[in-house]
Amino acid sequence: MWRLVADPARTAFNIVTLPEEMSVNEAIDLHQASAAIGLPHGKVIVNGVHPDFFPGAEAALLRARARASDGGAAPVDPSDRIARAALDAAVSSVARRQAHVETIAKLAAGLPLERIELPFLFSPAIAAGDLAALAGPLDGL
Amino acid sequence: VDLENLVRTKKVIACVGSGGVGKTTLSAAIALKAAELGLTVCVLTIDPARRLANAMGLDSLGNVATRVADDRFEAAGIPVPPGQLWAMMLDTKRTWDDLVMRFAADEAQARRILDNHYYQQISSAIAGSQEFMAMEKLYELHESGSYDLVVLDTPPTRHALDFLDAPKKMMGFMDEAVLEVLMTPGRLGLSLFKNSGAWMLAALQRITGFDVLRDISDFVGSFSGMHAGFRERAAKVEILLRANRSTFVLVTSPNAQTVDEATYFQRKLVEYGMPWAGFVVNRVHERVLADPGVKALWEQMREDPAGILRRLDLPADPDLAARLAANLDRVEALARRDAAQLDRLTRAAPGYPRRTIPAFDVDVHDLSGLTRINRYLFPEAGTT
Repeated sequence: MWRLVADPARTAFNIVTLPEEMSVNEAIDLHQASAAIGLPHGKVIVNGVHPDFFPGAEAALLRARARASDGGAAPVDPSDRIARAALDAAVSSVARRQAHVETIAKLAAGLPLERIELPFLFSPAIAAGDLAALAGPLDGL
Repeated sequence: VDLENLVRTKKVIACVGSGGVGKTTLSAAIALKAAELGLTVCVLTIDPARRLANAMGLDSLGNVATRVADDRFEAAGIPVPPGQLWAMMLDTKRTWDDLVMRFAADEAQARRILDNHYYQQISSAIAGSQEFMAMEKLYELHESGSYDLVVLDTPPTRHALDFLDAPKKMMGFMDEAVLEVLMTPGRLGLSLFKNSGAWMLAALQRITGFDVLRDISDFVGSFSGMHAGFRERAAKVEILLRANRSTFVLVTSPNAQTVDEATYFQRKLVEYGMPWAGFVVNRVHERVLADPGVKALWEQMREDPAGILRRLDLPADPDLAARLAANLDRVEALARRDAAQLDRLTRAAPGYPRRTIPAFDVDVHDLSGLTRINRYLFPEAGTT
């Protein structure tokens, strides 16, 4: 059994993790432990990565706009309130994306394996189409 | 659930729940609250996120409680609490070793056990070992009389029940009666090979090269006389957890699986007659469009995405407008999903108290993040 598990031609030890601090620490530890006993390493798969919905300068623009209206009174007009909620949701998306990017950078520094990132899915239950979307990036595994 | 009252009056608060729901963070937040109320509190944690551990000054695995220093609070920009916040990271193996030292008749007996391969296995690898030692440490901290309150962050067990059963299981494992049978000369071979477990031991012996059977036999021999101490200890831990000076807080997140586990564990707590305080649901997305009027208004606004940007004083950009709208819809969908899971929790355990903590954009990993959580955990207190 050990021969099968340790044979790089037949086995690859892929590590699956989340872009969160504790999971990334555990993935790095796991890689070190598995390398120490001679398991053939595969890739690292990061699941649930927040997509970059507001890339580049847009992120900064949205943040600046939210900061500018912070501290002021909540809008009186209901439509303005909803628009403000949409802005807050966007800023929140930017913050989550940034946190994930930073955590993944930490992962990359501690775990020198080829990396596959799978997007966070917003659907309430995973449907067949979602599985296909997740399977795509795994092609080269 | 008046958590603040529990913090003031209980001696032990155990946070239980599935792995990954944020038990460690919530345990630390509850402990911080206790310190803010002027209590001397210790949070016993298992494997905290390192940044949180570092924020509390828990850099080393000392298996001893460390007081969170005043400058840690100052660095986090929060007031130094009038009480004392202590924290400790459990080291399962060392807790076992300490117990052996405590109950061994002499140094030689302790040495024989500590050097035994079989002991080394059960003290680190056997399922339930970590749970048992978490309870042991909890009891020790409580008994020391040094703390007004001990907050326990329980190990992430696959079945939450393992935690409650751990002392019993481990004691059964080392039960004198079973061991006596093993130890009776002449019956050793027979009784061992009659059960299938023996084949596993024999296989283990071939693979590892260790004389497993002799190790077990030595272990059992060395351990004789210590069972009473261990058993008494396990019984005391159970009494402490059942007493009304203890309580359990069930931590969960708004996901189908963790809600299932939380309601299952809640039923078991009731069945076991354990005291419990209520649910804390962590990482809940808050609904924006729950009100039908608001939702109808949003549907109108969605017809004209450019109008959303105008209301926000943002430059016209049809693509950005569409993405802003789609993003709010996505977040609302998550919030609806969370609300549905909260409903399931309410239906499964109607009438039980509950607190919800919103999903923050960034994981909480410092002391100021804990005070943010506490605004939701202890709303009755206002801002502290």
